[in-house]
Amino acid sequence: MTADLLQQTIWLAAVLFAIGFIGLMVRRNMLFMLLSLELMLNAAALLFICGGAVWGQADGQVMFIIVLTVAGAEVAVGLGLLIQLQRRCKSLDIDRLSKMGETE
Amino acid sequence: MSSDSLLSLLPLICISVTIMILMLQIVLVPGDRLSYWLTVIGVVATLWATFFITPLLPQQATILLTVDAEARLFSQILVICTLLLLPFCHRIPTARGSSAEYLLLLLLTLLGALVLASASHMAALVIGVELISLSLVVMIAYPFAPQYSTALETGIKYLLLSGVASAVLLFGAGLTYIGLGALEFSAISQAFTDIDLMEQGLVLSGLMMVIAAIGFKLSLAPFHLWTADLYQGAPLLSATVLATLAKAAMALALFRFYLAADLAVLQVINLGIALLAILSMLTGNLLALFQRDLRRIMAGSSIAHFGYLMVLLVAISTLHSVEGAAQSRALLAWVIYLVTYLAATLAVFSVMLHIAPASEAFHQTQLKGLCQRHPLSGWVLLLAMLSLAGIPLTAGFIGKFYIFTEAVNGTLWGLLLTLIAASAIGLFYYLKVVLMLISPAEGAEADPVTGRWLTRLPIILIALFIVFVGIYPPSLIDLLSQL
Repeated sequence: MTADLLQQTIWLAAVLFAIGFIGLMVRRNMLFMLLSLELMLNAAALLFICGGAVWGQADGQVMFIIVLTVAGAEVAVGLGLLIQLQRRCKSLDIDRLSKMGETE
Repeated sequence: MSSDSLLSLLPLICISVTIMILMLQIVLVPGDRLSYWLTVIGVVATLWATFFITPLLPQQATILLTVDAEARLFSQILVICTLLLLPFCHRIPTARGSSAEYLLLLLLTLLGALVLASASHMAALVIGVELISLSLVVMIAYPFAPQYSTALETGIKYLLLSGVASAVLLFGAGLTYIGLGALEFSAISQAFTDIDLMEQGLVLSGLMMVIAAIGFKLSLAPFHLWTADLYQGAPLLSATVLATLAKAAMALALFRFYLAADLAVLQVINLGIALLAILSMLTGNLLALFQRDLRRIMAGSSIAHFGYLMVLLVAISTLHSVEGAAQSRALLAWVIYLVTYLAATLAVFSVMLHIAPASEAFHQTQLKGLCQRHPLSGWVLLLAMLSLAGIPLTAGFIGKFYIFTEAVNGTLWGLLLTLIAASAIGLFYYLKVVLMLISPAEGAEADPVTGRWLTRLPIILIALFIVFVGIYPPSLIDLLSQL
C-alpha cells in the first residue's frame, strides 16, 4: 500500500466518521440516527482494513469482523427500542418522546 | 494453549456456562425462583473459581487476555459487587410476569466486566465494553411494573450516546493500529519510540480517542452530560448496576490499559488526563451542589469521584521516572480508592432500593427524619454519605488520604489545590443530606418498612465493611497489597 493511498484512506474514514457524527447530532428521526451510528462504526472498520493492508497482517480483518458484530448487536437492540418508540408515540421522532415524559 | 492457561479462564467459563444454562432453563422449565437460584449458584461458583485459579497465575490465555494476580483481584471485586446486588434482583416486578431475562442481562454485564478485568488487547477491550453497555441499554429500557415513564427515553438516549462512544473507541483503536501494527496493550509504548513523527501523531490521536471513549463510560467531564438524566431516568435497579458494577469495571479497564500500554511515558496523554481530572472534580461537585434529588446528587458525586481517581493516574505518571516502589504505592492507592468508593455508592443505592424500590424520583424531603423512621436505612445512608465526603473513621477517609499522599508525592500542586477545593464543595452537599437524615420526622411516624430480610443483608454487610475499614485500615490495605 503506497503512502498516498494510505493517507487518502485515512481521510476517507475520517470524513465518513464526521458525516455519521453530524448526522447523529442533527437528525431527530431515530431510524436515521441509527444509520448514522452505523456509518461511524463502518468508518472505524475501514481503518482496520486499511491497517491490515499496511502491515500485511490478518489482525485488521479480524477486527473488521468484530466491528461488524458489534454494529449488528447495537442495531438489534436499537431496532427493538425503535419498535417500542413507534408503538408508544406513533412516530419515530425522539423529541416527541422527551415531551411525553414532561407532560406525564 | 496449554491446559493451565485454559484453566486460568475458569471464572469466565463459569459465568458463560451459567448464562447458557439460564437461557435453556428460561425456555424449557420456566420459573422465576429456579432462575434466581441458578444465577446465585453461578455467581458463587465464579467467585470460587477466582480463588481456585490462584496457584496457576500468571497466565497468558491467548493474546486477548492476561490473567495475573491483578486481574484475579479485580475479578473478585467485581464478582463480590454482583453478589451484593443479587438480593435486590429477587422477584423483580415486571410488566410481563417473568423477570428471568433481567438476571440474564445482569450476568452478561458481569461477563463483560470480567473480560475487561483481564483484557490485554484492544479486541478484548471492545468486546468487554460492548457486553456491558448493550446489556445496560436493555436493562434500562426493561419493562418494569409499574412502568417507568422515562425508561424508554433514557434507554434510547443511552444507546445512541454509548454507540458514539463505542465508535470513537473503535476509531481510536483503528488509528493506533495503522500507526503501530499491533493491538496488544504491551506493544504500544515499545513500538511508539520506533516510528516517525507522522505515525506518532496518528497513534497519539488514536490513544486520545480511546481514553475519551472510556472517559465517556466513566462519565468524566466534559463527557458527563448524560449522567444525571440517566441516574434519574433509569429504573433504580438498572441505575444501581450502572453506577457500581459497570463503572467499576470501566475504571479497572482504564487502569489496566494505562499500565500495560505504559502510557505514563507519553506526556501529551497525561496532560489530557490531568485536564479531565480538573474538569470532572469541579463540574461534578458543582452539579451536585444544587440538586434536590438524591439520585442526581449521586450522579454529580460519581463524576467528581472519578475525577479524583484520574489525579492518581497523573501521579503514577510523574512517579514513573522516580522509582518503582513509589509507583506501586500509587497503584495500591488506586485500588483502595475504587473499593471504598464502590462500597459507599453501593450502600447509598441499596438503601434506596430497600426503602423505595419502585419510586421514580428520590426527593430530599423523602429523606427527612429517615434515621427515626427506618433506623437501619437511615444510619447506613448517613454512614455512606460521610464515607463519600471522606470523614475520618469511615472507609472513604482512607481512600482520600491515599490520594492526597500520592498527589503530594507526585508534586502535583495544581491538581492538589483543585482536589481540596472540590472536596470542600462536596462536603457541603453531603452534609446537607446528613442534616436531612437526622432532622426529626414530621407527620406520619414509623410508616411500615417495605424491605425484606433478604435486602437487609447486603446493607448490613456493606455498612460493617465501611466502619471496619475506617477503624482498622490495615485489614483492607494488606488484602489489596498482594498486587
